[in-house]
Amino acid sequence: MNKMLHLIKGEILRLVRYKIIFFAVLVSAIWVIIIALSDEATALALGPSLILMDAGLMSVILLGSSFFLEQQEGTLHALLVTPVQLYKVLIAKICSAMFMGFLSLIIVAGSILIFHGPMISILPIIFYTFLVILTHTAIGFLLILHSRDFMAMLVKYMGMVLLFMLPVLLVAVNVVPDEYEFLTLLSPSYAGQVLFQSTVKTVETWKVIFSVSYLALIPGLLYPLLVYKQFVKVAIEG
Amino acid sequence: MSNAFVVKELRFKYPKNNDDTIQGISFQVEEGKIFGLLGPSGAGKSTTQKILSKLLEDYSGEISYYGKDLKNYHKEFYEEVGVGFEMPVHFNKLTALENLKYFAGLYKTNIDYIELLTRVGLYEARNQLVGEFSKGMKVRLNFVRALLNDPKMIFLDEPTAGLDPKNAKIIKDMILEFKKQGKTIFVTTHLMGDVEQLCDYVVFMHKGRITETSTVRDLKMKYGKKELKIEYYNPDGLKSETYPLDKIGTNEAFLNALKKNEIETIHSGETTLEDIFIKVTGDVDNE
Ligand SMILES: Nc1ncnc2c1ncn2[C@@H]1O[C@H](COP(=O)(O)OP(=O)(O)OP(=O)(O)O)[C@@H](O)[C@H]1O
Ligand SMILES: [Mg+2]
Repeated sequence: MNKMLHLIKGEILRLVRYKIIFFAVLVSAIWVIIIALSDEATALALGPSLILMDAGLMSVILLGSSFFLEQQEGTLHALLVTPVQLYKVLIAKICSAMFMGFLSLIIVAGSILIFHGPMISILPIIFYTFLVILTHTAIGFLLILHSRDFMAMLVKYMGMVLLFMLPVLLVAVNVVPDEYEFLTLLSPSYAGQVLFQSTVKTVETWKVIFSVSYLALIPGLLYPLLVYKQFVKVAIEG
Repeated sequence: MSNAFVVKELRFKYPKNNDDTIQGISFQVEEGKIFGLLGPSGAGKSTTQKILSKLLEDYSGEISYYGKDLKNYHKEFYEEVGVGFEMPVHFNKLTALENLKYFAGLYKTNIDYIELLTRVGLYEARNQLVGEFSKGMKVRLNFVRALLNDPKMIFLDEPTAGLDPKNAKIIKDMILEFKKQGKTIFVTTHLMGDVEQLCDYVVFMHKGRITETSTVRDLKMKYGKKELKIEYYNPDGLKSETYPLDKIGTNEAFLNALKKNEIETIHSGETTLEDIFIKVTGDVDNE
């Protein structure tokens, strides 16, 4: 446990030194301005998407930049000749992504509370943020670990975002009939957004239950089956 | 005297390559001694070190560490083993001290690394970002990092490469002190000065094979040419001649040369390790 804490502290210190946290806070600060300038209804409508952007989509970019910087320095390789287990290193990295995600949750949700009053259910949103970060970093890690550098990862990442957003768009412009709307929930990002929406307005219960299970299932499968193995492989190859 | 490592018929091939990089080598690393692995660039020295330090796994042959198959050791192996990489690896945006603290925190036991940092002359620079370090500073920090857990088995891949003579001497003195404390040290190098001053015995490697196993003294005896070389000026210009050291006092040609000429220099032709290095590796190239 002590070692775990030590590793997490190390990850966060690096995020600070590489100015990755600064960048994360900067993005959240832009959201704060948007929230401050919006009226109550718009802020509530936007809020869930903004939190999703930070917790889901931004976290992958931040994780990726941190990872490739470390890759360049070869420090991951250096951990191989220490007694530390690699799964602990991976968990520390996930925790550092959590740290950034919750930081921006505090900033964005906090500014909604300040500018527009207490309208968000706090406990559920914390739980949902946790799920969204876990899912998106699991998918993100697969992209990162299968890319040679940051640019290669970005290209794959764009593809992922398009794929995840496409069903949402199709529903929005009414190309997809209403009875197939449930298919949009197969996009983890959309499922996350639905969860965040449920903290500010009523959403059908089945959608919430489905989304929670789905977002728990993805990291539950990806991390142990795919991500960890690839992580070890990349660490050894250096 | 017990062995830290016993290596038998070690073979290794990088997945991407066609040929074996290590082609069946056998040797022992004695406990409490300094073992030197020598050889020209690309011989497979670093590869061998990586195999012994459990970084490369898919080898064939047998390696035992203190009598137990190396493959049966897991992460606990690194509690008592220290590894210095060939290329210094650090977090560039962290200070020297932060780097050491981070890695030290991964071990159960720690050496007094502030003292080591002072010894290698980096104490003043401890709060400087490693990214701003000179090459030699990075090499010295890399050395300290390999010792953080006060290891009883130390791997050092070219520990003095890129250091000025003064700093190289500090590092070498420290290595000799570690030996006095009973630690086993595995050094990879192609610097002959290091070998002469450090190694109890050496293994020469070339193209993935071992070409010599010996002590430094025995090597010199085996390859040493006992001869004397003089240089002098005569009307034709600078001349040099070589005479066998055997019965030199009664060698007429030599004595005449001394009498008749203005001698510039006299060298005993004791073979240097450099010569041996070139000879040992050259022999293989000509096979
Ligand atoms: N990761 C790798 N993948 C494929 N081949 C490799 C790899 N690392 C080393 N080699 C090859 O293995 C051979 C031995 O390399 P190694 O680094 O062990 O040499 P070395 O004796 O340490 O040389 P030097 O004195 O230059 O450090 C070389 O031919 C090299 O090209
Ligand atoms: Mg090498």
